[in-house]
Amino acid sequence: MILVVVEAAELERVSEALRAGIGLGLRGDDVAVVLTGPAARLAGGEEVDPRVARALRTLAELGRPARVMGGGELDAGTVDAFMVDASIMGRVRAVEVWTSSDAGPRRLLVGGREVEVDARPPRFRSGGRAIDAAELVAQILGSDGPVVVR
Amino acid sequence: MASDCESGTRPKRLTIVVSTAAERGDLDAAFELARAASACGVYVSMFFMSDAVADLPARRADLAELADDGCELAVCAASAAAAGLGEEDIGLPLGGQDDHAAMVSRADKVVSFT
Repeated sequence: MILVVVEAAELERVSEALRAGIGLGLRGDDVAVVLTGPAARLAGGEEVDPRVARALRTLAELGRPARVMGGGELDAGTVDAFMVDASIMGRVRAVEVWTSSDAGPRRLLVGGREVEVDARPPRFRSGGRAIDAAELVAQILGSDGPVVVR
Repeated sequence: MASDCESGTRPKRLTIVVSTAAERGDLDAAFELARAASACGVYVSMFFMSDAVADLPARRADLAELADDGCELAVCAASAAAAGLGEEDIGLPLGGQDDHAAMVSRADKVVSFT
């Protein structure tokens, strides 16, 4: 399964994420799309943007409706729990998390480890020390489960 | 160099997706990972879409270097059109969501800066 998590606050990025969610199924892969946080509010309100509404309708017509997390599900803790839910993540081989353009520093989660990704060198840091790209590639390729960048 | 990436059950295909603007820093991180993986003999494919596309003309040298190293690179045509860019601006053929799907479907590991 390919998991697309949409948490962006900008309408344009939510629309693009849903387009990706539709497109990723073109090769027959099982794709699950989840909207949460600001994106869920954009998709779950009374006046949904026509592009978002159309994309949600297309996903539903394709038989894989997007899951819009609402109410109490919207806190970040719930999303984290969802992301590591073994029953879901055990089947997930790839994850795309669509964040807001002004979201905080990047974190790359691989094999139970967290790597901070900085815009400037040294770009990758884990456990308080810088790691080079080759080491990170080895971790990624040697890991079980999907890589998640948030 | 290859020894830095050795892993007993090392998969062979890495796909990197980028959809954010350059100021986020994802494009640089993605290029650095792609160069390192390619140097290890890993087959690397990269898909660029959405806000990442507008910054690609300024990164033609990086793209050309990665292509020369054997990386498969694809750019979303719809995103390029939205940014007012054509193939001649980016130096790569334009593709679409089918490329995105194919790259992710074939990959052993996917890293998405989205």
